[in-house]
Amino acid sequence: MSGLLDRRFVVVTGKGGVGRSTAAVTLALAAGKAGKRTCVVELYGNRRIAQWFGLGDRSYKACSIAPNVDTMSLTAMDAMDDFGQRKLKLDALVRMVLNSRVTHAFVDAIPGLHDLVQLGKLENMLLEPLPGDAHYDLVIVDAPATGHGLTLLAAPQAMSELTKIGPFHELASIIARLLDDPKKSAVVLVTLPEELPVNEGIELALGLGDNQKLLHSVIMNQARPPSLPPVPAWDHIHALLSTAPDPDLRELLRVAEPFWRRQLSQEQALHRLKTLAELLNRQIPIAQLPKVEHGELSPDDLHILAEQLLPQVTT
Amino acid sequence: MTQVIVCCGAGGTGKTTTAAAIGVKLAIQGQRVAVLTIDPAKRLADALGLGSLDNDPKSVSLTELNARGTLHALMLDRKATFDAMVIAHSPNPDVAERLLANAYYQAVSTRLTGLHEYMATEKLQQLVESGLWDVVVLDTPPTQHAIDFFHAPERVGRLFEHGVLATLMTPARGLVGVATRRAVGLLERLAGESVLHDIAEFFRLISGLSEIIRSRNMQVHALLRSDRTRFYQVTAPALDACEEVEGFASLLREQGMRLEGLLVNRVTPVPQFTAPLVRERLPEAPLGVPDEEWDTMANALLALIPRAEARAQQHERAIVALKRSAHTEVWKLPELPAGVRTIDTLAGLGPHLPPLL
Repeated sequence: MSGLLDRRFVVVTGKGGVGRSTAAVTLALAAGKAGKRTCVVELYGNRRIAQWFGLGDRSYKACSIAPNVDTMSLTAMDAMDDFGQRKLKLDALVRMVLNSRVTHAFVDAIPGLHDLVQLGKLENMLLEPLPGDAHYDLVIVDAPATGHGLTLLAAPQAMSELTKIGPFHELASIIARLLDDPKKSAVVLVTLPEELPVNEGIELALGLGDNQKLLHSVIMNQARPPSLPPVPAWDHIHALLSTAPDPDLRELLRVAEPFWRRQLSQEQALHRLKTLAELLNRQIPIAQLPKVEHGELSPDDLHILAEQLLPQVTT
Repeated sequence: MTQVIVCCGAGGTGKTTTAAAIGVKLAIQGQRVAVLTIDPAKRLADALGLGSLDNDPKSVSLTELNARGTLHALMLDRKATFDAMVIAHSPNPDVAERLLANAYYQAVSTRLTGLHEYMATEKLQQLVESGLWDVVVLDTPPTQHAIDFFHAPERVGRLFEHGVLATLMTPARGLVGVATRRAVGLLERLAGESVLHDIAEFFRLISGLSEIIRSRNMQVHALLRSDRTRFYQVTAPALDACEEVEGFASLLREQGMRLEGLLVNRVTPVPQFTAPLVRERLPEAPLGVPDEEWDTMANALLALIPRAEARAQQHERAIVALKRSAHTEVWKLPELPAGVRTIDTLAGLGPHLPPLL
């Protein structure tokens, strides 16, 4: 996965429930440890990362969560206001119009505009920081679950299809330029060591269309070390215990079965993910984040995960 | 009267499989069931013995199960559903044709956030109206939060019904306030005139359907709040799901909807041994496996017991907390066994599911 941390803009995608936010923040912490000034951003006012780090209410402003690492929770309306101020040079009075009910209704009604202005804000942070703004080497986005993150990346295209001129069209072109450059941008796909999420992950990767070239690597979240010996051994175990007269031995088999299922799923999932490289005809490295066995993740857990991810993304 | 069962829950909890298992159980009991899934899960189609799923109900073979009823499955196609709605309710074919060709309609029907949820309720209504089904089981779209399923259709519904935009984009309607004129001016600057033209045309055309859209929205609103509809929330046996579960349960109650219970998915049962299982109680090495190798396997197996116990306890604790959060009945669904999913494995979940009707 070498080179990932040298990009400027990394979009972390994956289906709901696979641990996208975990992967995004872990990657950010790893980048921070590698000396990159990094901001990990949640969109649509989501605040999972902020909550993990005990940050208070809404933080449109970036907050530090570790040396070199900030987090920020963006909303479409904040990004729209920012767009009006920076790009359109609108004064406060006109921005009030931009914030009016009518304009909100309009923004709600234009597919992809919410995505677009938020991407625009991130592009600004990276490539056109104003005096006094923080300078980041890397911005990592936790893509929204809606449309599996595909709609976010398709937003510039959608806007150029709908508008042929005007600032929204220009904004779409600027973002398309950023996304068109695989030296600057990358997509990281997050998945789980199970059949269904992996198949969906592969579908997502293939659904990236023109953005397929951005797919840099896969993070397999909640990976576990094997707890049982491989296939022929399991067949022996199964044959022996399923016919055992002692009910406790049959119960042992029942206890062992889910562990075996998970182990087998993980092997098959890794195998399936390797076919992605064949489909795309290039290397798609797979990093693994180990499963944290106790419930809610703490900042310490995330730092430990980041230590484990770091060598995987730098070599 | 068709009954409706809605499976809600955050992504990754196993909603789609649960919805299918509910459908199988009801069909075995003798109901004519349609399961409407949202997720393009190839594996579900495989489990149901269907090559693929699309926007029209496909019959699932239940002959092995001695089912007294029937099961059909379909997968929501939001654009096809929207197109069907436009064609069915346009005042004349010309309006329908121009709507379908409108650039803004195309953008909305394929890309508008929330439209998926809106069209899920529209499709639900089409199924209920057909009178072909005793029960429709609805799987909900993969949103981050279960709540989005309710907010999104309302937002989209408002947009089509009477949105500020509808009046705003038809300047001929006379008096428009200064603020609105300013906003329109600004939007023209931002998006270009042609977009506003497309949008204006879209709203002018769709206004011909607005009466029917409004009445359908009211019907589905009432249906979801009537005693014909039951909601089940699918969740993982995890403590960190409590907040989501609690928020969703109270939202349903506020909305006057009927939350029937929590389906806690993939629960590890507590291991039940009659006496402590020690190495000596395990059989001799099977034929063809060297003693040493068997020793390693046996120890690996025994090491799983405390792990399974810890896992089961964790799940038990989570279930107690989840029940407290949701103030509702709880059903525990076991993890499905290894191997290929078939209609039999789905039927195997039946005894763990609530009575449903």
